[in-house]
Amino acid sequence: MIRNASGQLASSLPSLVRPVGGAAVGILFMIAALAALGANPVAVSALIADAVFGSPPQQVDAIVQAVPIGLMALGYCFSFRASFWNIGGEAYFYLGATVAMTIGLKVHNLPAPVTVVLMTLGGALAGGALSAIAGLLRAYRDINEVVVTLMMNLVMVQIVAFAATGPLANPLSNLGFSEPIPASLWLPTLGLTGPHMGALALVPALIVSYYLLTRSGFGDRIRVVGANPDTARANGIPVARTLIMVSIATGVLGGLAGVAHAVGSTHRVYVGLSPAPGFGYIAIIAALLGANRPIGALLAAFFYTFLSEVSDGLQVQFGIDRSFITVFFVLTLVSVLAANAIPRRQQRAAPT
Amino acid sequence: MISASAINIITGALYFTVGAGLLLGLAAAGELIQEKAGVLNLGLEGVFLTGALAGFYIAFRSGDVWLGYLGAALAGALVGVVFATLVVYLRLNQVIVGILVVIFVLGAANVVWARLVGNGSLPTLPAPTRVPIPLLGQIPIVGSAVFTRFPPEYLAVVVIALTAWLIQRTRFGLAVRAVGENPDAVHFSGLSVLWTRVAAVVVGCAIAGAAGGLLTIGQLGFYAPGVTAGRGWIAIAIVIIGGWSPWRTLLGALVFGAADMLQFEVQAAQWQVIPYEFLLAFPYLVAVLALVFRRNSVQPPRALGIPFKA
Amino acid sequence: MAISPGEAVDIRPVLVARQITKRFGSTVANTNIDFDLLPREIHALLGENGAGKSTLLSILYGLTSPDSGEVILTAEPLKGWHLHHDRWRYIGMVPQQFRLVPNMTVAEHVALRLTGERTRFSALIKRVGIKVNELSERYDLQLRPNQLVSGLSIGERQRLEILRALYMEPTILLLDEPTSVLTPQEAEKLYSTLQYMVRSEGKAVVLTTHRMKEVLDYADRVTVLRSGKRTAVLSSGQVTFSVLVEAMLGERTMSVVAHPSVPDHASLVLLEAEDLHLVTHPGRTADLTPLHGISFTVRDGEIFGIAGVEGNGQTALELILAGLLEPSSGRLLLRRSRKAASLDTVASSEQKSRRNLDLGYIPSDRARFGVVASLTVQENLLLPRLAHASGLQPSPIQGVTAAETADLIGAFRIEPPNPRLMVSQLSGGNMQKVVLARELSRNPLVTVAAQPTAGLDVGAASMFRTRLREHANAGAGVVLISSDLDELLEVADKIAVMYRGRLSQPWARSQFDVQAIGAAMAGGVTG
Repeated sequence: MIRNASGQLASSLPSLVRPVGGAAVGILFMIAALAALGANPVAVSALIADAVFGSPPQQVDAIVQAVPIGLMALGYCFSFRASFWNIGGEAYFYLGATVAMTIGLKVHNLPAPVTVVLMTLGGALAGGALSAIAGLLRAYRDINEVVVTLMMNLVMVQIVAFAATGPLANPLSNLGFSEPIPASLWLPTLGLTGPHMGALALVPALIVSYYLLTRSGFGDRIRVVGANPDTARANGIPVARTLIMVSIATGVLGGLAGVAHAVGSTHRVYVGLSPAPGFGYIAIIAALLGANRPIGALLAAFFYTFLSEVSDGLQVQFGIDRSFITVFFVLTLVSVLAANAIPRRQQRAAPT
Repeated sequence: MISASAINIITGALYFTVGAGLLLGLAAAGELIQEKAGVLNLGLEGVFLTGALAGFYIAFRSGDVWLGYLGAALAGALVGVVFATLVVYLRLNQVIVGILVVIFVLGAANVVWARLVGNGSLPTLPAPTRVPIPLLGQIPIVGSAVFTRFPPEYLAVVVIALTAWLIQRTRFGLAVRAVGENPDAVHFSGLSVLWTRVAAVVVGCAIAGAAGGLLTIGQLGFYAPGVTAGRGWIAIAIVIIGGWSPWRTLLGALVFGAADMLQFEVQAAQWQVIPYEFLLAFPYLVAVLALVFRRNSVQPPRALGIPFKA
Repeated sequence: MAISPGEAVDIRPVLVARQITKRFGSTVANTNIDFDLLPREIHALLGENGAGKSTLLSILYGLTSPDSGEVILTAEPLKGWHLHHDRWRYIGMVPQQFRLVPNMTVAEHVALRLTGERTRFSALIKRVGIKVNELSERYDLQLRPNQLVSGLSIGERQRLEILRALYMEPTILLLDEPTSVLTPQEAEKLYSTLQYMVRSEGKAVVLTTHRMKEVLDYADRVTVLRSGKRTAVLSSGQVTFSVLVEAMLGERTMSVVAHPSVPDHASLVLLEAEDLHLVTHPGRTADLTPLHGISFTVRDGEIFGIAGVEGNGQTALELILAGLLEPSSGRLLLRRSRKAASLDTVASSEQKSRRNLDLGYIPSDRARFGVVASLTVQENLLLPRLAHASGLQPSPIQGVTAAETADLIGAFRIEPPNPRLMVSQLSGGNMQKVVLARELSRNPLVTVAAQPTAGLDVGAASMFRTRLREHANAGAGVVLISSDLDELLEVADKIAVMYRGRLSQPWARSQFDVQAIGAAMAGGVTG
């Protein structure tokens, strides 16, 4: 996952062939698997073609879903490149959304754009602060981030459940949904029927992530810390600070994902805002499938959301549960990881 | 004087606590033996759910409850084989593969369940017959709450005890502990690190799968998507809180069984004392606190999470 | 004490290896090696680090399978090189790196290997315990079955490995560099135990060593390896120092560093350690030896040598000096620059010290602290730039032309001289050259070098010593931690000895006394 020295733009263009080719092969496998489950391959192909090329509402929905997944996948790239297995995306997402909704519901006397900015900042900072805890614990107490961030995910869902039925509850229908934020705070759509403006956030997020991770000193520090933290430390690279910074980056992008989805799409917060198995988990797969590279991670996110648009069709036409796409996405990543690991398995070390 | 209804409530709460504790204890035992061998299986929730679905379906189809439990354990073991192939043989990152197992099983279980049941009515199993332990079963309150249970729960106690015994008092357990601390030592002794770890993972996953069966076949009598409701994660938390010691792990399981009971009671009774969501979050918070404030003498297995390369 | 060679020749060998060849990637560890072991002999495998001794021993034991050639156990023809359990009945092996589990007992370590047996576990542990006591008494190993490994000293751990190897009473015992972790006195005791096994019990012993004196004193026969090839097989009657040197080193002449001229301006204190203590805990510092009040000063132009058998606290001291570990108490003072009026206390918070206080560091564990294997040679050479640069600006190690590092690569003879090569593709010696080049090129005022030449071939080791000497002669201070006493005698201006976490008073060059230093290494005298 560490690129070699010749990572110039020119050489990264042909590397686009691999993900595109991989996606095509993956889709063929998916059609075959569905055929085995009793779905007509021709009809499935038509569904896929329709979702990707034919149906504007589906395309819009795919983009709307790709916003939180893509933002979080970009966020994970920071931590994963440092071999910092921060898997708390769900937590940052829910916290970001909850903080944004709280501000949206409780702050009344400011102009709408100012409130939206406040919501965005609040959600992003909250996500970053929560994630920073994992970085601090790892950097100064040597506590494994995996368990801490995993537990954050599980705790945060309960906090959202509490908030959505308690302090932020909709007084009219207490069904686990918070009260919606005022319509004045909703993000406008691009055009009449397009995705909400939050989708535009992907562009700066990608550019900033790309520069920071692949071009900046910070990115190379992350790379060194990820490859060998002890050597990094012995060479004066601030390992603790780097770990805390990557955890903040992951948290901020996770928080932003929550803000964008809640403010742009659902306008309220509830358990299931990140539908099973959770945007935060899907984004882990996207980041890894993209080899922790920003462009790859974002492409993988779009690959997933566009494919997901066939879920409804599969369910209605063939009685195949919508979870099929998730299962397929997992299998894709496992195949890639295993294919990379098999040759490595053969190497043996010399005795010392 | 304690009123009859109070006795009923206490008996019910105690019965529930022990049941929930056994369930968590069994799943935690399955995780513990894997972690002792140096394999962090974050896929436990998935293994649990696999056992829950496979066990229930087999029991329902065959009408034989015990066949269901066997099926649950075997299905768990099967997931274990896949997991072990990826992380022990191919040495993939245990964290990533663990998470992937959970996502995969959550999805695949839905696909499978939809095909098995379709839009038909929800199948159920009859509640199992409870058998009191002679003498102990006659103690007031405790007798009917703790010592009058259905047979698979007794078996669960035996399996938990056997797991502890296996880890601490057998040659296999010695190899498992050694392989979790210093796989080089085991390799040099002429034992196979690979097979010791694979065996620990498969046994652990079989136990966790059986725990899934206990939930759907014995305690609930039905299966529904997501029925395990995070109990696999709690089991992982319990192993951490128990400091990788078998008996403290069981103790932790009973404590969280009580927390689970309490959360149900709070939800059912609509007590406003404490939001039940906080009780649901409680085990996870305690796990993090246990990590932050653990004593120096309590250490995870040294090779936990590290793939072994000969 | 050696039996005469004539007597040994008629006896049928107990172990024969024919035409052993073994490659690891591009390096050939063994080339067509023939080897035979006779009963009742101590057979030394002599060679420099990297000559292929450990590989051959590992192949003899069956832990590693050769690419071609065969090993025949004449007592019992065992087929296949897999570490078959029956092999243990005939051959025991004591590895150089102990394979022990800290929280398991002596008896459990033995039981771990007895998986083939069908007795109950508790009965097994009991039976093992009885035998442990018996063997411990017979060979004077002084181990008890219920001792936890975490409480054993290095010497005791080695005796546990020996006990494990002897448990099945094999006729053949293999030992890999057994004396490298022992004091001279402990080593002497080990040899007398081995001689007892050979003379009284008829066992055959193979051991690897790079110390010629041990071969001369104790071996009945010696097989000498150089660069993976066998260069000589000699009986004790034929062995002389010069014959061994030639077989081991070949035609090369060792380039000896010019005797250091004691710098006349040696007055400026560059580094001062004041009463450093380290209390160890389970977990992060579990593997380290506690330190008890270490104090010393290093002046400009001086190489301050720290001798001692490995495992006496050198690693802990190294990490503290490098700012990677905080001492439990005590102070470390460093001069910030030559012009600075006074020394600054080093705060060990997140390595600020090292970045600001201009300290060079050549770590003993180069793979862990020295290089990033997945980065290129050039990126590794430029690593310190990352420490200083602003994170938001373009990376200082990208877009650098090869010319910038070509000089360094040439000056330190890094092979192959390709800055774009991944460090993982270099040999261990060349990795170490990358570290040396990087650290010395920063021209630090003080350099901490720990076991810098371990595992290097003679040429590279000699270059290292020369560079460190030149570096000191140019006015810098060097702390040279080395378990190779000869190395210190060659280049150091002062030598102090570490023993069980304490540091002796230093000997100045004019007072170097090998006997006294050796005694201090054995714990006899501490200043």
